[in-house]
Amino acid sequence: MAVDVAQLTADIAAGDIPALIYNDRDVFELERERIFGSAWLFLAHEAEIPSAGDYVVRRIVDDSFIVIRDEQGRVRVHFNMCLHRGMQLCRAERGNASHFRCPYHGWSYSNAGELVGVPFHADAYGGEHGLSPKEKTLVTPGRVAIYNGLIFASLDPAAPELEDYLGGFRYYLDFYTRQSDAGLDVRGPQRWRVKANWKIGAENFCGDSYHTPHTHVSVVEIELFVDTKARKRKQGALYFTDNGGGTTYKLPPGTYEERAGYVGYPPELIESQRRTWSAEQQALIADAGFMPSAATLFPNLSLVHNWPAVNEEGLIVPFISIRLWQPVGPGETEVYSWFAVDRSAPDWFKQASYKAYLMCFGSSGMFEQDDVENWTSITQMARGRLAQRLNLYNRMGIDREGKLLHDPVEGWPGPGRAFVGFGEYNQRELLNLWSRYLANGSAAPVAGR
Amino acid sequence: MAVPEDTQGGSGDPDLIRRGEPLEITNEFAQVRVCKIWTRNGERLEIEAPKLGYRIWLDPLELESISWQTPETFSRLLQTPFGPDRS
Repeated sequence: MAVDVAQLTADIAAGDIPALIYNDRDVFELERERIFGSAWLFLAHEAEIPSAGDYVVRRIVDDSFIVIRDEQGRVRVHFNMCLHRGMQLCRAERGNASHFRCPYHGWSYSNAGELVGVPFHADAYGGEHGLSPKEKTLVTPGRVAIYNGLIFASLDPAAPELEDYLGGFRYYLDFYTRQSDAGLDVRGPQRWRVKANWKIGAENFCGDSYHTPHTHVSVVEIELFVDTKARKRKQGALYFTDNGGGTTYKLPPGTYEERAGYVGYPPELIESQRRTWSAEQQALIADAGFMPSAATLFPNLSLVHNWPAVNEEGLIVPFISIRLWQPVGPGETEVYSWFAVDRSAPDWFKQASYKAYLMCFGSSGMFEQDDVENWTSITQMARGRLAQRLNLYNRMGIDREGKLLHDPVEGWPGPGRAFVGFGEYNQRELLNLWSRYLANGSAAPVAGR
Repeated sequence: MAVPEDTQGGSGDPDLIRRGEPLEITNEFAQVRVCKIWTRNGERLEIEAPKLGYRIWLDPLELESISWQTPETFSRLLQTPFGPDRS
């Protein structure tokens, strides 16, 4: 069935989600072309490739890329396809190499992407007369840019600057990815596939505070993370700005130091945060009293920051995870889950934070297990014939006429708009963006609306 | 110098006095074996590419000269990615 993008856009703008978007081949083909063919997409963190020659192999849907630090220390992204017969050049998921040699016929490339060697060049090609290797380089995506060590690519050479794309979301992204000038250390990714549509995780992390007390009730029951209780969760604020949004938890009264200490940061990390973040950024914690938790940058990069108890004595330690919802098809997603921690953190903290992460997220994490059961079920249901007639109710926080039930938070210290309490404000924002991309291949408003 | 019997002349080179513990360096593109070797009067580093059947013994001066090469030198060496193009 051909996709009626205009109808999709109208439904989504009204807070109705055509259920089929969670498992439909035609919708997926459009997403592949207009979202994954143009938006800025996360590939890797610089900390994964610290030394010259270090590389990881990553995908943007079906396109494979080598993300490598070349011999000059510059980060490069090469389309992982030999220029000769199209063989995949790097097949190991990670490694270190100054040059790549194609397994098929041996065409060889420097890690800067230049073709340097062709077997039997004189016999086979008549030397330079037939083929000048110097003129050939591996294909690159349209654009590559880095923010706080996060390496992004866009397949669209005309994509806006990454900093403009991130826009106000940089204010929030810094909480996760720049807690000091030392930057992040990352472990992973753990990688696994779930039979779920990629958007469900992105929406969940973007703003679904409503599911936490129910889906994750066992996390509350065993007192792994007590702030997930419904009465605490609904006090959190939900913010959205430009291409991203997220959830927060309300902190108990106190100074910046007391509040950051409440979620488990030791004094030396609190000091470096205060040195690193702007006064406006610190005000989110110190004045407004909110601590960032889960977030999503459109389309498929999510972050999470929680503070569970990691031992029987109830030691609270925060952790950060970066996650990518990489589509495999309309009904399947490859989840990439990194553990991230400030590089300057003391060793005991890094270890305890890693434990906190493993208890909550990653393939062994309790939150992860709970979530995926829901997401695979939604995806399975969305395949059915009746799902094509059903619009899901995405109107939490607005009345029947679409009027907001609550006013935005006054004096919110960060960019964008924020609300306290349960509401699907952010999911609506994310899906509105999604439908604009489906229509235009960009965030530009749909013509005629 | 005491030479353990089991390491003597391991490569079939009768003049080799001793061969050190081999070290393997591999990635998805290539595999090489590196080891220190002792001749009667001196020492060298052996680099062996077992899958291609090449081997070279480099003395300290040659090795020193490698230490100041640029990546372009190796790109030039790799113009023939499987060794010399012999017909």
